[in-house]
Amino acid sequence: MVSLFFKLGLADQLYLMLLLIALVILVVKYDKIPYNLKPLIWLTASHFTAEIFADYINYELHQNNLFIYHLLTPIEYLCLSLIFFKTFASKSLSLLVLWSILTYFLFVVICELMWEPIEVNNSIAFIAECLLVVYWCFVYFKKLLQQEDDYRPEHDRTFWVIISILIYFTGNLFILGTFNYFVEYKLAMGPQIYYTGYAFYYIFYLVVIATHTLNYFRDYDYRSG
Amino acid sequence: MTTDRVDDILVVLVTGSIALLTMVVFGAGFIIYYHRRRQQNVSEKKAIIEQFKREILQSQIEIQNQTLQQVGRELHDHIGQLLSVAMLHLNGLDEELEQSEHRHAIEQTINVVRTTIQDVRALSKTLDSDTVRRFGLRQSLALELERIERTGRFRTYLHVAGTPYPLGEEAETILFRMTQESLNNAIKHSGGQAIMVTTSYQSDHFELIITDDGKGFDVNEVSTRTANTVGSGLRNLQQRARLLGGTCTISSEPGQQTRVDIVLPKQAAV
Repeated sequence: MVSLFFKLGLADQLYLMLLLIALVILVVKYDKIPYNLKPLIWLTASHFTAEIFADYINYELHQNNLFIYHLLTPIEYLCLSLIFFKTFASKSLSLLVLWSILTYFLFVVICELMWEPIEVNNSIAFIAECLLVVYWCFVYFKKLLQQEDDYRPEHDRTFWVIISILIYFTGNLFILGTFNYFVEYKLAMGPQIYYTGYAFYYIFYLVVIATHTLNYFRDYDYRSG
Repeated sequence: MTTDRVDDILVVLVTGSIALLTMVVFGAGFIIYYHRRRQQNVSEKKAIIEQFKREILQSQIEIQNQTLQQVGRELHDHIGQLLSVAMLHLNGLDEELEQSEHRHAIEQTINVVRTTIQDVRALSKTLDSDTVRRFGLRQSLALELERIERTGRFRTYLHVAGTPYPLGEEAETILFRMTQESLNNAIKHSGGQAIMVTTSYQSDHFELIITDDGKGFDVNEVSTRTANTVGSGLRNLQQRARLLGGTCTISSEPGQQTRVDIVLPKQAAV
């Protein structure tokens, strides 16, 4: 495990360290994590596990590790939709999020069978995931505008986590979504495009770490609407 | 460190900075927009509540005016009429019993009924808002003070400063009712002997001051009383002044005179 870590590139090393720190913080502070953000633990854990396995397969076994991401994408969407499901106070909206999970899983299976076998990058499934997540983010922001009383978004943990999710998926929509194209037609640019994506991973996990360690952030009960 | 590694880090750094900046700009933009929108909502809600209050007050004033007008007309047409008939009978009786020992008592009764007729007429005039419309605020105030003076309990003074200008029918009626309320308060609670009403027609505002030389009261204590007690009368005065776009300040202290100061900006008044 340690030898694998030193074989990795700096970007991967940094990412793994951030994932580990975030995971430890989330596990230690589990009781203090707001109800709607608890699925973040599963998201971080799945990212961490996927990254370890993907790096092991790539650096130790020197084999194609893309099938890991085929598994990760639906799990990632499941965790994210659970965050939105728990955040939305509206019953109909929550139900819509639940239905989107089933629909998305079905779509991923169709993609696997028809267009994106496990040995190639799952760009289409990932684009669909990004679009869905970005949509839920904007639904969340729209709902926030209807909040009344003394709600202050700048102090809200969920607000910043959702913004970082939005940035993460908007950025990766273009990076991982076009990855297949670059691998096929402009291979030289592939690694650079791939590394660009790391910036979004770092920002996301830095925000997760910051929002769960700094006292500046508060929790709002989204269930009460 | 190889050149490739440096390049990768550079790419991550540049992209990270741009992404972070985008996130901060988006977050800050949303927060600013949210607060602005919230502020706007609060202002709109306030305006709606204010408008609602104004409408309620407006209808209260209209209802009060109509009721007073009705009472005034009833007094003039019915009670006044009956008193006039009683007066006629008394006069007839006075002539018939010219030599009677009861003549003195009849003459006294005639005087009482005559005074009552005058009082009822004066009262009916002050209750009728048409009086304000017909004669204007100054004249109506003079009539009202004259009526109070006739009771013999108070000396009254009306002082007009500046050149009078019209304040508008509605404003004048409301001002007249506010004065009546203040005068009634003075009569009922002040225990004083003199009431002074001053109207001041300034170029930019109109001021109406009602003062008495009574025992005064603790304004703060009275203002905090519940709605169904005296405190509501003072609040009512202030609400009416606000309805006209002006202010009403009540200043008093126990043992000192009471002063009700109503100020209306000229544009709001006209």
